[in-house]
Amino acid sequence: MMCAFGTVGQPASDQPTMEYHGVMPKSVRLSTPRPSPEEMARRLRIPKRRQRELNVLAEEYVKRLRAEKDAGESVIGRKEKPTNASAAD
Amino acid sequence: MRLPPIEPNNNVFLNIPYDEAFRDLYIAYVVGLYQVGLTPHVASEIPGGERRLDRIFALIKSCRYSIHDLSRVELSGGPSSAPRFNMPLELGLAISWSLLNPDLHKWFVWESEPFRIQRSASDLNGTDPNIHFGTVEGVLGELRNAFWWNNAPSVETMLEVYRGVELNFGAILSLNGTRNPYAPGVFKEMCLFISRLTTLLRASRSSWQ
Repeated sequence: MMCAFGTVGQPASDQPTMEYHGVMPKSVRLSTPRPSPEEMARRLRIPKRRQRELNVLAEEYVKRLRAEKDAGESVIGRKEKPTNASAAD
Repeated sequence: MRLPPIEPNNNVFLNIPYDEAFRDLYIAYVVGLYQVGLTPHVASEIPGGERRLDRIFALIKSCRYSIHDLSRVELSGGPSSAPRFNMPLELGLAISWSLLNPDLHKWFVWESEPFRIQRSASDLNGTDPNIHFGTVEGVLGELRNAFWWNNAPSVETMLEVYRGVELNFGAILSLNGTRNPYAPGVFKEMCLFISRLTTLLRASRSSWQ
């Protein structure tokens, strides 16, 4: 028996009878500029004090990165492990 | 009736599983989206007492793009395990909105395994999902492919920002008094931190080279 869309009894691995020929693009080209940190803070309504705290954290990381680069180490040299394991794992 | 065009915006609705195992990829999405010139939005940041689905649909409508990560197809753990239907449900909302208003919204499907979506959601056959292989580098690389922006940094540069967020994520959680990485305050402050860090790194990079 077939339903109106013809999908009943259709194995998922077979050619589908209701393919989606929609608007999903593989890529889009952007031309607009990225918002500045000040613009982001305004949009996100983050208080000045918290902005300063986050700024200190960012500055400390940049200093650390620079020190590691100067020492010839790589802060990003570690191997990433797959992180998409099941929540039950 | 076709709605009038909305103001051009760089907003992206990020439809992902909210669980601890996805945390690194969540950070990668937020870092990567900002690096390619976009502003991420998640359902948890929407305030208000309206029904959750209404709030999510309002957010989808306000975003030019949406990313739907369908990589979590496993059953949740525990004695009452169940599949996760929220991501496909919200993808359906975005598809409907886009079909009705193709000039206003474009949606993307992301997966961790090639060809799996042909089994999990065969009605999407004919579309090309972005495959991230469950890795941070995969997410960053595919974001660069999906959203082509002339000023987009390399994946290596994106990873420097990612690493900075990862190292400071505990501090951001502490500032917000929570252990929930998906809390609204954590998300907002992570976005600002990424923005600030990107600006600082760009200014510093010329002196390093």
